[in-house]
Amino acid sequence: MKLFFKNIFKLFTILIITYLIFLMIFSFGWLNSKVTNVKNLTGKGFCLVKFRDIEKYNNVDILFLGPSHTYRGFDTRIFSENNITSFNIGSSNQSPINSYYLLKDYINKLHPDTIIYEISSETLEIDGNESSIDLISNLPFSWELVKMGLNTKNNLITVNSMISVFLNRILHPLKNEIHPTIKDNKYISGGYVEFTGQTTYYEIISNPLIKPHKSIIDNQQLKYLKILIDFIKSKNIKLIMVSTPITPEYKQSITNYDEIKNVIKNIAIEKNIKYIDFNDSEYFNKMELKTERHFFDYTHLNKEGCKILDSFFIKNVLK
Amino acid sequence: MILNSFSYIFFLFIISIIYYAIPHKFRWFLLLISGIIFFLLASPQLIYIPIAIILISYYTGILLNKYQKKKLIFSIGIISLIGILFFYKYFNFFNDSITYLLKYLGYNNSISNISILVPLGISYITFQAIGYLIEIYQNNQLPEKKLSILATYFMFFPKLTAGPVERAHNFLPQLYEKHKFDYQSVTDGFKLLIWGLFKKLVIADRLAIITNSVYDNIEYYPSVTLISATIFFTIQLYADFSGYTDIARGSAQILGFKMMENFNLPFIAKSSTELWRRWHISLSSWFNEYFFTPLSISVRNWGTWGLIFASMATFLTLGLWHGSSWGFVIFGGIQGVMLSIELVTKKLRKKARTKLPKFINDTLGITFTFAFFSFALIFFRANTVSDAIYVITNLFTNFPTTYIDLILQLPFSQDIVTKAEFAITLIVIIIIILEHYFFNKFKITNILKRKNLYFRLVIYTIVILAIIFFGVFNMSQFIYFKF
Repeated sequence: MKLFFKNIFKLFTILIITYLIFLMIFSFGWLNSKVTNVKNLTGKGFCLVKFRDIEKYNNVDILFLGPSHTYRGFDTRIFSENNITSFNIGSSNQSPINSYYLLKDYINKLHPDTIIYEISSETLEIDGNESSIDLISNLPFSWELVKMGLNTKNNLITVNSMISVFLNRILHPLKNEIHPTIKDNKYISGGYVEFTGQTTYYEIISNPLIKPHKSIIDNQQLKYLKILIDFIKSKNIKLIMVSTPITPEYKQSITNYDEIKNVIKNIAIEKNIKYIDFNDSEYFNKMELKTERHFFDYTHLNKEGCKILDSFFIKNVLK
Repeated sequence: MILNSFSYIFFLFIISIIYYAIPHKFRWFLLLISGIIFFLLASPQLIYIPIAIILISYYTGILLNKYQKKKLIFSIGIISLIGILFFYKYFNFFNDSITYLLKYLGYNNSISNISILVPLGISYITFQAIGYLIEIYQNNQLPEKKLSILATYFMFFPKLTAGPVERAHNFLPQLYEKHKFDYQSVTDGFKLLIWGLFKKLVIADRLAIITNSVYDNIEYYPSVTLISATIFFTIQLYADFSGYTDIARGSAQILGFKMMENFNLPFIAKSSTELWRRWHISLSSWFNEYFFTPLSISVRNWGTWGLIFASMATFLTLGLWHGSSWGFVIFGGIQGVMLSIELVTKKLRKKARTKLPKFINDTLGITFTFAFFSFALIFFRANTVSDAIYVITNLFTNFPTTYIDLILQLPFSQDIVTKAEFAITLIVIIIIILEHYFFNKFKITNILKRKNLYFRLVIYTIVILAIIFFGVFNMSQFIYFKF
């Protein structure tokens, strides 16, 4: 048995050294996107520019938090025009577990009076790994990000990517990374990302994701949603949970949409916070949103749709 | 707890350490407790079912040995076991089928479905129990006198989830053997486990990305994508199940136990008959020994028709064993038809083989067997029978006639996977081909044993890193776990 454990020790030593070497190699250029369980998303998406932009902001009235619905649905310029200072730290696929750890890093810097948290079935059914990798790749190192990576479910890819990113930064510090230009998209200071392209109604509704399906809530996300709410409340910050508008076609395809909405609603009631689903007909119809005019894909508002939502929000929710 | 999880590896590690640390007389207890814990983690509220199966098997076995009225005791035991399996696995299926039939005839079914949870590994435990009782009834085996040992056999955790359908006469004696820590046996078990994880996580689950996307949205995909998904599913199923078996057998070997082989390079089979001697061997041999053989003996007066009847009955039942859906039954039926055809045309095929060179014969045999098996598996994989029919009728619809059209219909052009992921998929398929045609032929494992330690450690490192860097970790559950 001694020989067995001795050889196991040798195996682990060789394994760890080779593992670290390969992580360094896989984070570079062409190989980066080819190895399925190692992702370095540095400079991809909008997080890099956003979290450099955030350094210019302190003490905002409103902080927008959540997935892409957030940074597509809340234009801080519109709020600014109404004398409301804000920042939008929404990021791609940001789920409750991601929001919680991200907020822990930035809440003391931004000191918001109010947090608007976007929540939907999409973010409650994912495990959060994609957003974890995105945030770890593009934000400066912090222990909260490490905790996020380690606590995400099915997190082997996140752990591999996290180690790869940190090893890579030895040779390529984050400050030297250049934010790329992303076609049909423009980052606006304050965190909003404007879609500048054109899509047709047919392109929107022919997305294969618009087919009848049932959303399955991930229990870990539900747990972190409650943790997030408790954390925000503990800071005496007003919290409003929202579900931004999605196309009626997509909403209809989620066969248990009402069931998911009720889960969120019940949490809001339990925690004594406001929740607004802007897909409810009382809001959606009042805003007169149309798929072909106000959305650029099956689930995201375009600039015009965002303007309508934000104006409605300021007039009916904030005031 | 699934066998391809870190928690299982940790669980196995702890149990193995304790196993070799404690005296032999207490080891059965450790294995029994670990099996119970394993079961409770999956189906806590259903623990009474394996307890019932164990008690029925134990007391029926004892009574069979003690009393003369063997047939009555045996019948009660078998009916009880089949009854448990039927109730938990098939009640709703048959009830739905009866409802459909009655509705078609203009009647209502007054019996409603029951909300039933299917316990972990019920098909496997029940079949092991039935096999155990048959062996006692046929005087091939004496009943196990110790309830504790019999319970340990049934609840042995490496095989609890999805078999193999381990024979009692093979396993029970091993529970009485004193297993000393044997370096070679433990390392061989460890290697088998790692290889099983590789097949499951790197090969099966990678192929599943494509097959699941296609089979869950069949109407969106063209001919070549459907064909690719169909072929990939065959390989996926093999990698998934043989991967699971390797993990189970490797785990057992680490603890000093030898479990039966479940796969023997099925894709080199030159006929469906041969394929079923190489595929899910523990189950196919179980059906052969305890179903086909006695049935064919009972209808031997029917001549060839008797054998055809026995084949069809065996494979329809085998299909049904896989799951409570008509798709599985049709899968079994198709296999039964082919085996019947092979039975009837045996002499003709033997004659035909003499006319062609061996290489051509073998290639044609292997290709046709694989293609036919893949075709039958469409019913196995498709979500419904009508989906399966859709796939079959559209396999060659608008088949591309140019190279560009062919490329446009491949999975990476259909946004199912990226080009890089598709390339990795092809590489993993090549690994399966290598496993079938070269690893065994050149006895790779024996060559590896003769190499120095550091060479072997580097090979193991490569396999483990391949799992870490290319494994798919969010698919998780094994296909045969559902049975």
